[in-house]
Amino acid sequence: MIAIFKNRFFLIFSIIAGALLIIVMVTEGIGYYMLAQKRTSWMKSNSSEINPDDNSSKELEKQNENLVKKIKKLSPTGFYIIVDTAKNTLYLKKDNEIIRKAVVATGNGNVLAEPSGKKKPWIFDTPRGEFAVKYKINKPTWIKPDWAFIEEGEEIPKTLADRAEADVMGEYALGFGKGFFIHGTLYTRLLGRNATHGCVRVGDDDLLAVNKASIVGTKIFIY
Amino acid sequence: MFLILQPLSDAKAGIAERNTFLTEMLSLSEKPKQYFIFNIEENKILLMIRGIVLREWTVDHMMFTGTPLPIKSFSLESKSVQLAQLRYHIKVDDPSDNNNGSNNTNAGSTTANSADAKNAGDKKAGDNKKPAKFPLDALEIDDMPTDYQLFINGGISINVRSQPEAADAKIKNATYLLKWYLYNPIIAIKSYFNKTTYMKMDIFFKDQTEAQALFWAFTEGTECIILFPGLGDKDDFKF
Repeated sequence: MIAIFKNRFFLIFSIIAGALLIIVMVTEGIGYYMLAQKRTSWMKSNSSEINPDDNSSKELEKQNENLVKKIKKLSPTGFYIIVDTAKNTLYLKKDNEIIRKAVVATGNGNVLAEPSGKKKPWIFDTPRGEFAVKYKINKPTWIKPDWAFIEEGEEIPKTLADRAEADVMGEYALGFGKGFFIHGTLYTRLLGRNATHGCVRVGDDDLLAVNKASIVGTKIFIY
Repeated sequence: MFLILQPLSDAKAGIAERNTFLTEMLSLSEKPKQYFIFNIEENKILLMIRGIVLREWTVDHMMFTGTPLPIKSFSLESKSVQLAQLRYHIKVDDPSDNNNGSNNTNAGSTTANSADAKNAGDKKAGDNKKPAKFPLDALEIDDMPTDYQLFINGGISINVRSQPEAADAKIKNATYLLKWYLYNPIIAIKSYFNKTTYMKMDIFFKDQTEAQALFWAFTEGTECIILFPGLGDKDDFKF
């Protein structure tokens, strides 16, 4: 051991390392001491000294019970749908129970510029938040929006008939606003991937189950 | 060094804190938007909407430094990585572009590409099976960062890390330790004298996809509640 310290390199190295360690410890100590001081004063100012026998304590407990009730009232009941766009999974739930889990395809997040540059570009995300089934369609026909033609480098047709395309959305479509649908697909290999322009595409059997369980007003939560 | 170990959990807050928590929860649940709850004591992150849990993350290691903040809702101002930078821009004029939908004559809301074309007839075979990952011009969870920072209003920053690859694990860990144990105390001293709020959280996931999923779900403007240790008992924040 002494022989090691006789070596000049090891001696200098040990001194530097020791000095650094002391600097780190002192800085850390001072820093955390100051934070601890702040925390203690914060705790004192925020902690509530409530006597459990006190009336105000009982009043607060009542308030808390009411708050829990109010939150529970806001929670969905019956059938509702949850879509996880990261995992591309749809959960059909009834109260707290998962009735069906389905592999779906959701928005690809790509950007398509509007050719004139006058309008905002399209961003093909599946919207997130709370939605509800606004309408249900059997044997839906896709009315292709402008972006579908622009993306294909085609001219935008002038008549509605030229935009219509049947048999591509499966047997059912559940609209949840702003042109977004939960619908079927021909491209089953893309289920489980972010591959759509924002709609939620579901396989045939799952679509049947989701359509059967849903009514207009059924909540959809997308994250 | 011993000063770090000052107990925080001694201060049992109880009913009043539960009241504040539930009041904040109610106000967030009244909106049709999702919100997060970061429970530091229980190493849990909850994504909620209307009082129900949409997704739960169990964090492998969660810690914080700085002054704990009262129970109230904060919102995510920005992230160190912008989603816009990661998006694929469709090139319409490029005929070799798989995603421009040249095969997309009957795609519905599909982004058709060569994979679509090849597999258009697999309706029966592929139903409900998770496909093997083939290249796709899309923004997917795998494209999300595994290490990033979240900047929340009120001077809070959250550092999200995940298990680094073996090659640079040691360097990353050493840099992180230096930052946490040397740089952060210096900033703490500075904030003490400047009388500014200083709060830093560190979230560590062993599983990188968990960090990516958090990045995916936590979008700018999303509100959150942060529950610090010592605010109350575990039961105070049950609902």
